[in-house]
Order: sequence, then structure tokens, then C-alpha cells
Amino acid sequence: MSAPIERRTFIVAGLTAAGGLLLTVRLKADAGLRSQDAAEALGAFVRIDTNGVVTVMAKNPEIGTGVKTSLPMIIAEELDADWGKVLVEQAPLDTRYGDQFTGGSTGVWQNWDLLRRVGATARAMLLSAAAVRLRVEPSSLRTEAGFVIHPPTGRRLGYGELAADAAKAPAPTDVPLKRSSEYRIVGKPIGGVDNPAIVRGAVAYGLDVRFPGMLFAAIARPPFGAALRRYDAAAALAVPGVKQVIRVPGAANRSLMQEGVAVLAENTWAAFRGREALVVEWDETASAGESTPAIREKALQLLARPGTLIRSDGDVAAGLSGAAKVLEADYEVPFLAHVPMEPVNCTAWVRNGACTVHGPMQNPDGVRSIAAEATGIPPERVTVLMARSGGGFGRRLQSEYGGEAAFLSKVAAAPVQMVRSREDDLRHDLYRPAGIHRFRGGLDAGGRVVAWSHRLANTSRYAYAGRNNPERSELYKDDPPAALVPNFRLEYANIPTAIPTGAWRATLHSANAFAVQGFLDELAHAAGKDPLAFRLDLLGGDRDLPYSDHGGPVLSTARLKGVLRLAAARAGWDRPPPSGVGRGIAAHFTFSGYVGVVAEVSVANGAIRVRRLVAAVDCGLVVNPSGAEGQVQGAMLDATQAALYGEINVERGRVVEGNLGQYRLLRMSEIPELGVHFVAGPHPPTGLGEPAVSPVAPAIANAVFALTGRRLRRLPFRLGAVG
Amino acid sequence: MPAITLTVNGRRHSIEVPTEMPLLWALRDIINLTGTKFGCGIGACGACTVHLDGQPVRSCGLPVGQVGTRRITTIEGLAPDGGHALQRAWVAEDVPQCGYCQAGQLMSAAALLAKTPRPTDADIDTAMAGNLCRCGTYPRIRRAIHRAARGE
Repeated sequence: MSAPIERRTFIVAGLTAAGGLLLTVRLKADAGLRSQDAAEALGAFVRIDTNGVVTVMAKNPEIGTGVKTSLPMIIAEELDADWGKVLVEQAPLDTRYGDQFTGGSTGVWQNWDLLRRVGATARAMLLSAAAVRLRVEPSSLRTEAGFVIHPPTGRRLGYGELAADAAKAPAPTDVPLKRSSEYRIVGKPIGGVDNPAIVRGAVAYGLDVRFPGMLFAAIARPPFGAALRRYDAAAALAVPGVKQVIRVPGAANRSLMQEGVAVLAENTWAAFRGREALVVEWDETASAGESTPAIREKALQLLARPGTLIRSDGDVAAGLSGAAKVLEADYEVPFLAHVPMEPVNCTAWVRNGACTVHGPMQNPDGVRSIAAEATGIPPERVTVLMARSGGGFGRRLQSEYGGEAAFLSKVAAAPVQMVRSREDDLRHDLYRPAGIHRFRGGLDAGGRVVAWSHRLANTSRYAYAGRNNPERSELYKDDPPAALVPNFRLEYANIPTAIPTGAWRATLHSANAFAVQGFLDELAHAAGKDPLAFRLDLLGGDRDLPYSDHGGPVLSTARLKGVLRLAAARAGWDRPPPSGVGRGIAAHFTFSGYVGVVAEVSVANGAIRVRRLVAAVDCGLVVNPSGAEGQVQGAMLDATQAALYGEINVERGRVVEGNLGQYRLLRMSEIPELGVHFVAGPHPPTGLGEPAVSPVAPAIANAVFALTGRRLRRLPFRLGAVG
Repeated sequence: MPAITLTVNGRRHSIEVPTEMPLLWALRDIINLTGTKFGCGIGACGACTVHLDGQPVRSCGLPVGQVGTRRITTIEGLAPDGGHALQRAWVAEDVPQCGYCQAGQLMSAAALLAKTPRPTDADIDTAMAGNLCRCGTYPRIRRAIHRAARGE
């Protein structure tokens, strides 16, 4: 993920066609980052019509994290709009909006300052216009829910009445922002803006995009690493409704475009049937050896020798040899699929030297680049429209599917919707990397951690993406207990493979926290200490530790201890659990959010039942408590289903699991009782799409240990195969 | 191909498709009612749930040739104005996250309430067991069904 680009922001005003206020923002990138023209283009964030209706543009793609509601709330708050009169529209991809991206839980915190200033600027302009109209000092006016009010006389002017005048003045450059105590919208539970349409089936997701004369495409895809040997289109073309068969050439970098054969038809079903009928032969020389057991073997080989050094504090060898007690353990994580409820798809229309791409996405800029690459059309002639996405979970950060749709539309000379069946989606995903973590930890006579060695061998997503350094660590170098243990060492090794990997919700935090928080728990028990007290001791005094790579820029030990304490208090950590119930705790810092989780489990007939999960969350100010609670609940359930069931197995370059019968998700009857508690604090908001995932799996494993004495060191959890 | 007549949300549609085409694709790609969603194609996720004469069915596995004269209700026809008690409850409880599965969830819940107006949690779990939500909105779905059952 790229670092946020520092920008100076200029806010300017104009008139809408109907004479209302059009508030636009100029983003000026720091010199050299972007062309001056693109950076200074105008973008409309807010439109106030003369009838008082306020239209706010939602800049980022909505995949279910709630940014289509929470980001406009921030503008509306500073504008002092009447939320009931706010309309939200999805913005297209446009440099005028700055970064448009849903990933890394960045939506709220990266836009907080910008969107507050957008709203506050519009409000200041309306106040100025009202002062002129009423012939009073601007300081004698206040605003409330869409009105400027002059308290001494009780006169009120609606924003719609002022919009035309306000638009004629230049935008002020330095506007006051509200204090949080003045908030009327931010901090209130507000329902998703699309909900009324969603419940009527009236929202267009990616698969609902329709262009006239559109063809539907299904692509036959090779085993991982295999190449196309030959294909015969005749049988596919004989299927009623099938129109064309098109070879999709692979890019040199497979992560950008994978080789395949596409069947295009009048409807989705005919495309699927045509693909079944298609005769394709793959050259499987390179793919035959790709399997999950082979990955495991390679991991064990790599772990036997030193990896790339990621971090070294003190002297781990000396620390371990001087320790009173040394523990060693391996923790293993499988490949994990994203399984968005809306399978991967995209619709594109290439005509007249231009291309329109409309689909579900997390990275619209990536879609534009890849569509341009796939069609040879310059990026500035590629229009990208964001459909609401039926889930993302990191899958739609990779944009290769947009290139497939654009390429097919160009060759077919028709609009094309590329549809992946559930089997395609599950079997040709970019999986969370599989790997093995190897730990050695040393305790002194007092039960303090004096040495920590952590070596990871996994199938790097950076290597799959073909980026420069395949040895770029999938361990984040500042994750605790980094900086908390005097002798500390991290090493990393990539397992070369053609099995695709990518970012899964919370990226590698979701897997690393399982390993680290599990091994920490082992050390706590070995030290004879309460797992909560052990963690609080380890974190030590209140201070900010520097943090970079997938979070930061600092990690506050006080805030991490705070969520541990709050989760423990709300779960009743001090009291023994009910009979037959085990309790475990874990906490993790993910993308600048702090989450502690207490899990309660029972075991019946060899199966783990997660009975209760209690989360304490410190994400700073909570913009939308309803959305925030939903994100935390959802993240905990997502992590639970991954911990209990999630696993992708590969044999001879092919994924074994084919559909939701084999790749299980939680059902309603299986969900635990969920508690979600937010820490009230003074900090600005950070994102919530991911952080609550990380501590759940280790909290469950630690609870199973507390109940049964069996340590779960492999995901997904199987009591029959305890490590 | 002989024409097949389907009655969807009270309207008759005459379509020319193979009789084996699943109802889901006839609704989405031929009749252009896209509120019913494709999730798995094997009846394992419930996103494609519609009613046939009031009974919930997975439209992804039902050939159009087998529908016969049964009346089809999709999410678009659950209540013409979106004013079904469940739809109101879904909004009141802020159920959707991505929202993609919710049409199917609503259709299953509507069939449940039609038979069992005051369901228990166990009734809900049983009736909704075939509807998956990847975002984890289950706690709110349950609350929304209870809210609708209370007539709020």
C-alpha cells in the first residue's frame, strides 16, 4: 500500500446549473507526484440546490465497510446539514477526488481532515451569504440542520435560499472546524444510505450492470502455472446462445492477466454451459508439482536455515542460551479464499477508442491502469464507474478481472460482462498466503520474556505480484512483542509458487496475530502467569512505539493495554468461566486500530463451539456507531469462520474445494454471542473494516487451551489434529 | 424454442429460452429483474431465493420449465413500495453491510413470517439456515425478524 500523498487542498465555489452552490475541491499534490493539470482539476464534493437538498459525493468504493455513509456524514457534520435532506451519490474515478481506494482500513482516517474542511468551507460560505442578506455580522449567526439562524431576531434562512449567493463568493481558505462536543451527525448511529434500495432489490451491484447488446463471458482458466496447449471451440459454439470464443493471452506477469479461453454468450447461463462444452488442453508440466503438501515441505526446508533478516534487537542466541526456560513451536496457516458473496465480475465497453469499465472494485485506479494495459487505450480514455460491491475482503484490490472484461470487450466489439462462477471465484482467487511460523521464546527465572525468535516461511503475495523484492517480509517488523523484548529477531523466507496470493482482510495481520498471540499465550502459561497480566506486564509502561508497515506511525502501549483491560472487564475475566467453558484472550494492533478480544468456547463431540466473543475496540472517535458495531461484529464472525473452517487445498495445481459445500461459511445457528465495546478516547478516527479480525483466532485457540490443555497451532482448528 | 410463460410479481412474461435454464438466469438476464442474486449456483447460499406460490425456493437450481403456472415473487415484488414489515425492519436495524445476500435473506424471512408470525430464535435459525451472509449481519437479521414480527 502506498503512503498517503501529502496534499494541499484548495476549496473553490461555483454555481450549479440550477443556481445552487457547487462546492469543489482542488487538490494540489506535492511537486513531482502528479501532473499539475490532473492534480488541480476540479472535483465536486457538495452540491446545494436552491430547494435545500444537499448532495454529497461518496468518493470511495463501497464494498460493505460503510464508507458510502460514513464519509458523507463527515462532510454533512461540518456543513451542519439536515441529514434527512442529504442525498449521497457514488463518485466515479476522478483525480479530482484524490485517492479513491477501499483497503487497509484507510477510508475514514485518510479522509477525515479533508472532508471536514470541505463541509466547513461550505458552511462558512453560507454564513457569509446570510450575513450580507441579513446585514448582520457573520459572528452573530449560527447554523443548525440546514439553516442559518440569527438568534437575536430569530430570523432563519434555509441553505437552499442562500446557495445561489454563496456560490458567487470565493471560498475562504481557513475555516474553523467544530469541536467534537458540537457534533450532531458524527457519533450518531446512522443507517446505510443504500439500505432502502437494497431491501427492494434496487441497488445495482457489479453483476447488475447492463449495457445494450451486452455479452456475458465465462473464462476457462488453467491450473496454477499451466499453459494453454490447444482448444477446440466447436462444441462451445454449438451451445444455444453462445456467440464467440476468444483466447485470452496471458501477460508476462500472471498477476496482471492470466491466460485462458473465454466463451461469450447472450446470457450468463449459456456462457457457463458453453464453457463446460469447450475442449481445452493445458500443458501441465509446470503446474503438476503445485500442491499444498509441497508448500508445507518447502516451508519446513526453508525454516531449517536462516531467512532474510527483518529485525534484530539485542542478541537472540545469547538471550535464549541464558534463559531459564525455552519454548519452541511451529504455527501453520493455510491458504484462505475471500469468497465475496458477489463472485468476481466486471463489465466493460470498448468503443470509439475509449473504454468504460463498470464493476465492483476496491481499487478503481488499478482497474483503470489494467484496462488501459489490456486494451492499448490511454488511461485518460478509460472511464471507471464503481458499482456497489457484494463484499471485497481484499479480493478486489487486485484488478486483473477489470482487464479481462476490457480485453474481451475490445476483441468481441461489444459490451462484455465477465462473470466468474462460484467455482471460478474460489478456485482462481488470490489466496491469503500459506506458511509456517517458527518460534523460540525464552523466559527468565521471573517469567519475563527475554528472547523471542520468529521465523516465517510463506508464499509471499509480493512475490506473486511480481514486485521487485520477493523477500519483502510478510512479517511486520514493529508488531509486538517487537521493542518489548530485549533480544528479538525476525526472519522471513518466501516459498516460490505459482499459486496466486493476495491481500486478505487485515492482510497478514490476520494470520500473524494468530501465531504471535498463540505463542505468547504459551509463554504466559509456561511462566505460570495469568494470560492477561502477562500481556499487560509485557507491554509495560505507557508510551508510543514507532510503527511502520501496515499500520502506524506509532503504537501506543497504553491503548493496547486499554483494549485488553476493557475486553477482560466486559467478559468478566476476573470470575471463573461457567463449567465446561474455556476463556482466552488476545489483542492486536491492525492498521492503527487496537482490538482486544475475549473468547469463550466449549467442546462437544470433538467440535469446538465458540459461545461468546467480547471485543474492546479503540479506533479513536467513532464516526458511525451503527456501522462501526456492524464492522466489528462482521470481522469477528469472519475470523471465526476462517478459524473453524477456512482452508484451501491444492493438488496438481488445482484447488480441491469447489463451492460453498466444501468451503464452509458460518450459518446463523452457529454464531456466538457477540459483545462490542468501544473505548471512548480523544483520538481522531481510524478504520474498522479489518482490525477486529486479527485477535479472534488466537483468542479462540487460547480459550481451547484453557479448557482442554490442547494447544491449537494450525488453522483451521481441528481437535483431532492438535499440534 | 417454444415460449415459456412465467408470472413474476403479478406480471406475465413470455420468454423463449431452453426449459433447463435455471429460473435465476431467466429472471436476471432475460426478464431483467436483477434484484435476485447469483451467489453459488448450487443452492448452497440462498442469495437467489424467490417465492413460488409463497414457498421459498432457490432459483439457481430450478429449471424454468418446471415452474409451470406457479406465481413467482422476487424481492422487487415482496411489497410494491418496499413497505413490507421486514423491509422496514431491515432498514430500522441497519442490517446490510455489503447487502448482496439481503434479498435472499428477506425472501426466506418473509416465508418464515407468513407461516410463523412470532418465531423464536430457534425457528429463525432453522428457517434461515440456508442463507449465508459473508459480512456477518446475522445478529441484526435476527433482530430485524423479531422487530417485524412485533409489528414495529
